[in-house]
Amino acid sequence: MLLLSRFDSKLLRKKYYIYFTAVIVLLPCTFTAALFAKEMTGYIKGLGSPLREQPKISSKVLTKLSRGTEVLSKETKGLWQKVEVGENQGWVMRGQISDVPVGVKKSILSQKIRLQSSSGKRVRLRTFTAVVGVRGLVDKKGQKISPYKTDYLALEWLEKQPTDEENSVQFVTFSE
Amino acid sequence: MLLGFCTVAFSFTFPVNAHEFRLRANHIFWKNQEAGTEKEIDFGRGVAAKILGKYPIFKDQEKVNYVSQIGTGISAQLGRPELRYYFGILDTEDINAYAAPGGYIFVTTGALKLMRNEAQLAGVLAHELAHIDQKHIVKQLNLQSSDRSLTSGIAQILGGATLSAKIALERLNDLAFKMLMEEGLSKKDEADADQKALEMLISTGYDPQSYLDYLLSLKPHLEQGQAKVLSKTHPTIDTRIKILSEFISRHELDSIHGKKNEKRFKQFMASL
Repeated sequence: MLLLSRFDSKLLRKKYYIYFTAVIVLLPCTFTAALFAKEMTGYIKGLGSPLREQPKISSKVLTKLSRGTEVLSKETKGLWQKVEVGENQGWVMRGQISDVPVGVKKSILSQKIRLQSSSGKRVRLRTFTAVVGVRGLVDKKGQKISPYKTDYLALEWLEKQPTDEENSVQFVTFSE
Repeated sequence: MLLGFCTVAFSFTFPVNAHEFRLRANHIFWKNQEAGTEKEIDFGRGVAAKILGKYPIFKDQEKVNYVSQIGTGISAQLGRPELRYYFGILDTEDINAYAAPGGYIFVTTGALKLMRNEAQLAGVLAHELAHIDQKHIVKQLNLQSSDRSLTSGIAQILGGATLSAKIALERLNDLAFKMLMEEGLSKKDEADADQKALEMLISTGYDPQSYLDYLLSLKPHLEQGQAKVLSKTHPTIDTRIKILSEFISRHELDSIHGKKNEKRFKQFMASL
């Protein structure tokens, strides 16, 4: 019994030692994390995001920030973030900032992927979309994989529709 | 906590300033994200093809261009810059709108007939944009990789161009499609998309109240069964309005009134 209680107290001491070490190590880390969270680098997502004098939609526009501009977030107030860009300081809406650098547009439409269609022939993506659209993707035994219909031809029609981001931004700025 | 620990460890090991360190960390994170984006588009493309397998595409060029311009105008300012968004119209009286991962957004002719102005259309498209930007479907399918990243999770699962990878992709497409048509996203994600839609409307100068008006106008149609999928997959209109009203008062947005562009909307949609 005595042996058991000694063993227990040893275990308890070891436990406290672990807790104590954890607090000593993690406390400064928490402060550092908080310090980093306060001033974060952000990147402008949109084409010509307005930098405003005050956190209000009716406030004066100081300048327009281009896509990918690196900003330093200083403060958050509701839907707004105070940012520093070079010499300028102002407010942008939080949805206009990304916390990762802005990437180039991705497209998978030009990729050529070889696959087995229901006819058993290996086909390239463009042909694949047409074949699969009509007959459905099949496994090696020729069994249909999905119970749902697909229409890749309609999808390709949609993907061929022209779009122009700058023109569209102009289009939505129109007000009656 | 872990980030803090790593930060301290890193700053002791390599004497770089905090700003430079953040840039390096962001760069590493961004490279991983980028690798998964193509797979996310590939995944979403399959879901979009299934949506088009259920509802025929509406090919009126003028109307499609109009919807696309409104959607692209918003996504170019507030969407994910690495994505090319596609905005299509589905030829069905069922009132609804859908978003597939990777940038595919659809609105039905039934929904367009119910709308009264451009701000309402912008609100519906913004709601769907928010689902894509927040990767709600990907999160709900729990496609996380060992590094807990959502996009590289897709890349890990659907990493190859082999037949088995395509079969896995097809099965995930089915799960996502079922989620859109039957089960719906979580209430939290729908509330999040509604709130983000309001933010996008304010940011692009549209009238945020118009979005609430559209939601209210849905009510009798839901009761009459004209929005069967929507009633199955979304929280009730009262719940959505309540959450949005709280959001509006919390951020003092009551006084914001933007453009509605009713005339332009009617001009494009008159013959629908």
